[in-house]
Amino acid sequence: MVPDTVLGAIYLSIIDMVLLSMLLLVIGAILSKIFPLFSKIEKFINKK
Amino acid sequence: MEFLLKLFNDMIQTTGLVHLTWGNVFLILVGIFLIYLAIVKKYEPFLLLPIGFGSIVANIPATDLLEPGGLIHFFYLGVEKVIYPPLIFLGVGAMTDFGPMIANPSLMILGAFAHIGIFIALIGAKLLGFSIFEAGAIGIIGGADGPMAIYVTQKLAPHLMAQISVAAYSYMALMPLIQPPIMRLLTTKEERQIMMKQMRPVSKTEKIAFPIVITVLIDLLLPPIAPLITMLMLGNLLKESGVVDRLAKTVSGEFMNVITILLGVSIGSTMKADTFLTIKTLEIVTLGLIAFMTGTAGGVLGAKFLNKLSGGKINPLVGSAGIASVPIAARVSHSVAIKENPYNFLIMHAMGPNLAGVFGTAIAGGIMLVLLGVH
Repeated sequence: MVPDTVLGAIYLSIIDMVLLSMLLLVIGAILSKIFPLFSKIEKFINKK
Repeated sequence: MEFLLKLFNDMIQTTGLVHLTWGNVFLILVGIFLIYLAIVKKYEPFLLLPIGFGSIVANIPATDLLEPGGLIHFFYLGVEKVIYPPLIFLGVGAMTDFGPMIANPSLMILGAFAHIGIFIALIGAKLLGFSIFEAGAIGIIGGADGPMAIYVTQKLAPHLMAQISVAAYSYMALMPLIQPPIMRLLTTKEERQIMMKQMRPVSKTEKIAFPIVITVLIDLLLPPIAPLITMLMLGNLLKESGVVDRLAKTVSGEFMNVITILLGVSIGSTMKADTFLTIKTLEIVTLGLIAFMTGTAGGVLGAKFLNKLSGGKINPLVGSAGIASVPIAARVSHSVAIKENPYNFLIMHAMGPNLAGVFGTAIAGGIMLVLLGVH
């Protein structure tokens, strides 16, 4: 549990900001690396 | 005669007139002002009009509308039981094209930069003596996402619902006034004129895969926000699938309108003089404004940083859109850009960070709930 102090609020803010950035980067990485493959698969299926 | 006078007196006692306080009168005037902003200034009329009307009704004593069993009390159960926010997200999902975010995922990080305001307000609230739970709920105003603010507040500090929801929705409506001066202050004329290159086309398969992948990913990692993300993505899947147009139209149309009316009136009705007119309200409203301003600044500075990294290919004005509030913030970015260069159509580029901001607020709120041990 985060302590109910100013220091606790600072910890909470830093951890939240770091995890938020990491998660958005993960989603961004999935969108940029994996999603274009869906388009390629779609094109491949359409050709067949 | 005495009987008639007593009867008349008893009748007067049942009216709201004898119970009306100066606080009630003030908040009725505030309600009228919100309706004025909605009708005359066209500031988010879909929100401000029912909120303003709710404020008027809440401050007319003796109507029993807000008492248990009263009509608006039943409306408010949707806020209290956290039913409206996911349903609003269902409609938002069905109205939203996530294509700009899928096409340009490198801008997703702006959804984090623009949320720095949440944490500044959180620390500020703690410094002012609020509990860590109250501070978390106040901070989320900076996410500029009304349903998310209601969701987190109901979990962390339900007694502050009135102040936080009114601040969140009012500032969202006032974003076209709050953001542009900060955006201009932090950017040069040359930066504001940067034209971004056209985005790649996004296939139908990608758009259908998106809601499924995101639901699985976020629901697995952050269960406390599953109701919101699940509904947002379900609405989007209804839209993108292309086979249930009738359902997509319903949830993004009349269904969403009904929820908006109920939510708006419920929020407005929380502005009761006896609980709303306090120093705490003033502190929360001020912290909310600081959160919006610093979030805007964080987004613009983050976009400036990305612009430098990309060799001048990113217009820093898209950064402020990372604050969420779809599509208001993206429209603000576009309107500031077009004043510098009438051929610079920034709206679609700003929609990417704007949509990332929706996820940013939800994720920030979800992580906060997990870290504070609230589910």
